[in-house]
Amino acid sequence: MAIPAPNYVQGKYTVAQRDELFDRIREYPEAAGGLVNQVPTLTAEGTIIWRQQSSGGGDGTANANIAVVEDTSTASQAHAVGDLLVFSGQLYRVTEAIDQGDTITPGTNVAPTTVADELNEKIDIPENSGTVGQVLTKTENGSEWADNTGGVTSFNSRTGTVVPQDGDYDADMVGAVPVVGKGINLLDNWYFPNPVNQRDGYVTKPTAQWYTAADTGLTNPLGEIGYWAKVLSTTSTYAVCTTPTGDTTFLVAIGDIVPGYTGAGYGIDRWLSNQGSYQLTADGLVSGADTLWTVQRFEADKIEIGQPYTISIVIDGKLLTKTDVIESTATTITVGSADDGSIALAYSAGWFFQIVTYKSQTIKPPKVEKGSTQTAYTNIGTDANPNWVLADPPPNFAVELAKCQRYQVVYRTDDAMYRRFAFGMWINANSLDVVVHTPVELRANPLVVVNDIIIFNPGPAIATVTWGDSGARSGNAVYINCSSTDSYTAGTMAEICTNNVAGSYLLLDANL
Amino acid sequence: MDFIYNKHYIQTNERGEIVNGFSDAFRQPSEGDICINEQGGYQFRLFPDGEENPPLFDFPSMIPLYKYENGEVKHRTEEELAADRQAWREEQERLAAMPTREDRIEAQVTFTAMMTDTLLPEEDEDDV
Repeated sequence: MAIPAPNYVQGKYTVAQRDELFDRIREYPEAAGGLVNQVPTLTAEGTIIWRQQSSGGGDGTANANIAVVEDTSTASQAHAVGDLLVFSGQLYRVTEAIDQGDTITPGTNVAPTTVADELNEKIDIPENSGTVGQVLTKTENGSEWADNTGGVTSFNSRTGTVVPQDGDYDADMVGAVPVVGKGINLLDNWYFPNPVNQRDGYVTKPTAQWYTAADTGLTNPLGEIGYWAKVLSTTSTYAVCTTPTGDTTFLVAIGDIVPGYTGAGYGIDRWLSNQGSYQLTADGLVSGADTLWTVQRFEADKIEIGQPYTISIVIDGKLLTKTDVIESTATTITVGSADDGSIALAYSAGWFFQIVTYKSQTIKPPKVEKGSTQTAYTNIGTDANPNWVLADPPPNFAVELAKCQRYQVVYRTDDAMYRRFAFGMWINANSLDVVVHTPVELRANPLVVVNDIIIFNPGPAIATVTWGDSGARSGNAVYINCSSTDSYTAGTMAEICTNNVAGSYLLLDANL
Repeated sequence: MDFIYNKHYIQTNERGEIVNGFSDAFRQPSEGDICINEQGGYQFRLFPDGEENPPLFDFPSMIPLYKYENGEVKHRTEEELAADRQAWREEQERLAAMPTREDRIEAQVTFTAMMTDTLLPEEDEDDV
């Protein structure tokens, strides 16, 4: 879009007109061509190109000349250094003061310039663009870019000519995604406030009163247990519990048990304890007074050799985090102390992540991530008084459940209902084939753990069988062979269901 | 770094055939059980890099597939398996030839009816 030529010459422009003129030139750079084309035609001596300089003046149009046209090489008037003039169709900037009558000599007292160069002054291209990499800024709205003094007030405690240097920016300052890794938690079932808990374990409170196994009326309390005992089964009034050695059972009131696990074995899904106890709370896991050692084992493709990994956790409000490059299976990333608890990423017959506490502590969600930046927690307190909050949102529970069910599936009931979950068929008089469908394909052939499962053959007749220890995978199903010393009719079907008491279950265990 | 290992055990019959295998993550061994791996994983394996919880029996004959011989777990030979399968098939044929419980009941009912002259006439096909 071309600006009409007369607008550039010999006229007064209001502030609005001036702004519109230069706005249009900025918006349509080709419009400057109209002025460029105009300059060679300006020959009438004394013609003045005006421009608006400020908004002062009674009518708001205090003008300043842009250039005066000279029709010969003899100056018709004086020109100060820096002034513009048009001579022989060329725009010049005065480099030496010219008096009236002096000869105008290009290269001596005037230097050729262009409309585009002069317009740059109005379109905010910095005259002094600083040095490579220098931080520039405006000194005030509408004024030129500047450097050095007045350029940057301060940046990371530096002033004046500020050039970025190492340490100016970290990932937290710029909200950057790690270059390596995406902040994804490689652990399964890491959200301890609401974990996948298919085994549905319970423990007693250490302060619970205990009763003999025969005292089902809970009439004769025998003192506090003093430790977290494993709950085997429950009724509406009491829980049957066992000592750590598993050789004695006793009772506690139903109100004295809490969700949790004690002793060696799997607890919440994917977490295998070697020793110790923990309780499930809305804050996370709360470990017992004795040493808790629990691990999550990874499958082979989880950890890549040569890559950096970061492990993080908050135990009793303190952030423990460590980054290292996994050079080989001999690499161990570990952080913590006897007082703070500890975590580690290590290899022994496969990669695993472990949590160890040596006293009762609250264990917040852990994270194992590829990359050198911990993205699990954010400090919303101060350095002196930190308050670490989980940066990651809670995971999708259904997704976590599906992931966990690759490793184990539990069919159970906790109420007075027979719950059918599979069918079987007598392939001969003494051998029952049971096919159990699973939500996802199990990782491996599972070990079959059965507790008080009923076989209606068909109901109400109940068959007595010995369950096979292992099941063979067949896609999203597992085949289990049961045997019986009794004889049944080959070809008949049987219903497999939980008993109508709490604690009845069938567990397909394909854990690592 | 210390780690949690599990021991793997097998049980054999009088012929040295493996009839059970388990990891001590799930049950404790009894006297006579044989430990085949003291640093195993959570799940039972017959061989260090073998399948977890492998089927130990042929299907549907339920013939043991493995044996413990000279301190080693081995596959039973094809000849051994073939012989056992043949014996199993013959046993199945013998059982099939024997009257079933239903056959015996029907024979007893028929005999009683004949002795009491209460035998029902043959069904007329037109009545079906």
